[in-house]
Amino acid sequence: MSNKEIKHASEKLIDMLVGTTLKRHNAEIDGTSLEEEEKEQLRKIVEDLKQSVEALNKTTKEK
Amino acid sequence: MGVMYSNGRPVYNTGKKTCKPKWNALDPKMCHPFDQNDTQDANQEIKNYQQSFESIFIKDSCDVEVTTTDTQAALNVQVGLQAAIALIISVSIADSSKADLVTQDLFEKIKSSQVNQQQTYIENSRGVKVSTTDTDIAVNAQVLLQVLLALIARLDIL
Repeated sequence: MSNKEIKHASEKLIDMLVGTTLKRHNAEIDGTSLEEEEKEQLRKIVEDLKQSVEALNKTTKEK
Repeated sequence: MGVMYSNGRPVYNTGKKTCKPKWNALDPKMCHPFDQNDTQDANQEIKNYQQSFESIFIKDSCDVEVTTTDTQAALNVQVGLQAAIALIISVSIADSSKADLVTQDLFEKIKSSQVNQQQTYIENSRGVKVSTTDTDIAVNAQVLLQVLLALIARLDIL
């Protein structure tokens, strides 16, 4: 299994984990009540965090 | 085995070679042990680098370069990811008690081993480069990011 395949499998697994957790609690993620400004803020937060994790992984690989 | 006399006392030659002087990192004239063909010493030293506790000791050495993971930065990223997960759940699940339960449940499941503790001891060394990596914390951040992305995908805002 290549690194890419492992990453894909782990993404699927975590997606399933989130899905089953929501299902168990009979909860649903609903973004319709969010205002456009809030959505934009959330997008920015996620993008920043993505970059931080990438930077962290890059430092680890360089070593 | 020949007997020699020194100051009237017998001195026995056992045939044992005299010990080589200990290599001193601060003496530029001494040949580095790694430069010789004896690799056993090298292996023994490398093994000793992997210990517990996050501490680095450097003694009687020069030209030593140590690189470690910035644990504080990694922890900040981790905390940021946890907060973002909690925020998204809290704003997207109308029932706050359900939101709390989902958050708690998710964090329970993705709990993994925390900071990797290491002890590095460098003594009497010259021209050594040591890199310690905190793999645990990088993996933890990656898992949290995947959880965050799974939630965001359901929120359909990207």
